Amino acid sequence: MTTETADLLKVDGLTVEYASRLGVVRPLDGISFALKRGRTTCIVGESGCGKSMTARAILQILDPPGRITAGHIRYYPTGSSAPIDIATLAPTGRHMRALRWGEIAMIFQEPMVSLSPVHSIGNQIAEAIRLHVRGADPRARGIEMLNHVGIPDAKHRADAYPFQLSGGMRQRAMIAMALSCHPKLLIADEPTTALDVTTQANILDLLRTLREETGMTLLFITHDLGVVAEIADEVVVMYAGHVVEHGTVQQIFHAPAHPYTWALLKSRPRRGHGRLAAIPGTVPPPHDRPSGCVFRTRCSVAVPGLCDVEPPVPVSTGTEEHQACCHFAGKTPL
Amino acid sequence: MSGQNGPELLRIQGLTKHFPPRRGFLGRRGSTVRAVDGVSLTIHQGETLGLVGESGCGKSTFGRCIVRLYEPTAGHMSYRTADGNEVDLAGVRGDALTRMRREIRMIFQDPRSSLDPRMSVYSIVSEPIRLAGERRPRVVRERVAGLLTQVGLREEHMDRFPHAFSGGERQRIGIARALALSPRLVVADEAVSALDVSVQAQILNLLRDLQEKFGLTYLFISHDLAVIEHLSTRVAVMYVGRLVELAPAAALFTRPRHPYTEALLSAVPIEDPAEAGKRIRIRLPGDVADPSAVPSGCPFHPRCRYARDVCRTRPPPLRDLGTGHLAVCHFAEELELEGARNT
Repeated sequence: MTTETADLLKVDGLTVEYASRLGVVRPLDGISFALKRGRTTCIVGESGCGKSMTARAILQILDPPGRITAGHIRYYPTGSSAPIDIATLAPTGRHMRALRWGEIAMIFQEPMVSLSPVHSIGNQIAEAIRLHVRGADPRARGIEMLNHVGIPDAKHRADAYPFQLSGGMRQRAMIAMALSCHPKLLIADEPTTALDVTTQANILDLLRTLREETGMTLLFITHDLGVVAEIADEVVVMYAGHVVEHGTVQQIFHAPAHPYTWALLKSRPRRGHGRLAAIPGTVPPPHDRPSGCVFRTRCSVAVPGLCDVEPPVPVSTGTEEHQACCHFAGKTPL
Repeated sequence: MSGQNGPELLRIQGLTKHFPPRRGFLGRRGSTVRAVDGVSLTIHQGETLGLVGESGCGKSTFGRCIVRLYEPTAGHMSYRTADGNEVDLAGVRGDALTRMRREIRMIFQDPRSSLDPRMSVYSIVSEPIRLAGERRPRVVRERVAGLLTQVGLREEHMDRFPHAFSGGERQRIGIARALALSPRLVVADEAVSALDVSVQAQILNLLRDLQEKFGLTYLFISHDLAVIEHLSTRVAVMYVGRLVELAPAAALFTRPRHPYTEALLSAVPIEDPAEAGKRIRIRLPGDVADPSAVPSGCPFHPRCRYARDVCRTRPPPLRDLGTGHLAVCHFAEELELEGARNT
């Protein structure tokens, strides 16, 4: 590959399967999207849509028996280098371990679960630095990072254990750890969902500032459309293991092309006392997905004979980067 | 929704709930947790009073005191019963309490943990009916079938168990159980917080329909300001166990009178990417105060950007700013605070 690419990561036809009592289940069914270098991409969707699983697949930390059975995750470390296909790397191999934290770091919803309860946060950060950054003084650099993410009195707080910190401070410590090795890609899986709204606002500000400072790429996973509007440049909308629409944040909010995106935007509670446009039914479980289009059972524009037979393919609506997976994308005004 | 001027249903005065110190690890003594500290407010018949605040502000404890899941430490809750009598909920015992619990019901946050996995939907929903003395099987069954239809489930769901239902359906079962004895006041504690947006909208619509149909009064407790704004007639804001502001919903969201409310509104993400970048957000320094070590004076003063000397020493009185707008701030009249975005 000699052409410069604007993408840091390209996911192409990614499929994750696991065997269960109910047969082979496919929580991710051929999803494709790209992460633009230095931008913030949000994956948005309801629980069970596969957004967290996508993140875990990129880092090869899927919980067994789940495994990648098809597709590519092409990672382009620089604009001109040949891509590394993460999907082909052994999850516990040397290459994958070097990529994890070194190049791609992740923060989770509840830092209390992902931080060790029996090591001080300073030591935990130092460990990551020792493993991935050569020639740095791990402790000094750890304190520097804690300082950088806005933890007051970082020098002393470095000796604190996670339980001694508040939820917001724990998430800051987690962010410090994730960024301590200068990753090119930071995956944030619902990092503010467990936090209060004022703390959430501070963490979003912090992530936005850090992304601008470091030029890293941010993949932000959330179910909250308000958070998407605040932080995203690009948006990937997922539903039942499929990418149903992707585009820029303006396109998604102002000209949604997939009925699911449209309905999701409409169902948010608003000022005023009118009824909300709820989506009937619930997200189908991975072992019981409808034929044809996965959204057809809850869709207001689904047509029998077409939507229940023919799986829709991504259709560009206007620009190349705005695509929706719907037979009527761009044809029916929503 | 015209509940704003309905007759008083519940008048709460100085409600206080303190949890005694726990003997901690290595025998260290904690201090008393002032979960709810002298909250006074009135709930009118037919309205939805939204109660909002961040975690640890005491909003759930407040709701649990009303249904007497907790014994209040102090205060009075005078409730007007269906037959026109006044009862102090803080003091009722025995049969009288049982009667009150028929009129005041609760919907919980997590429909997973609030439904017994070993009980069928029929047993769950019929339990209050049977406890209230109705034993004729056919009558009970009919009532349960009727309730399930009311909340959007089907009669044949009666013999299934909670695990067979999705989160939204489970919340409907919880609502059916709450409605089983035709309550007058329903305390909903984060009733839609565990649900996905599309399902959340279904439940919010359902709660609204049921309110219209049965003339219910809601105390709706949530941390989600968008949900509160959508559903509430009036809104109360709590901070470390105290009421800081109470006002009609529109007034509170457009023109808050307490700096904490202003900061809270400013922190809510704007659902419009074109607007999101433009706003200047109020950053609250530090964390929510610890209810076992409440700051002196106004409990919000360490984080308040308008705080002056008096705020550090004197607790602010409740100020009535007219048209039902109450704020607990020394400077409620003079501060020009920013409301939520103008949509």
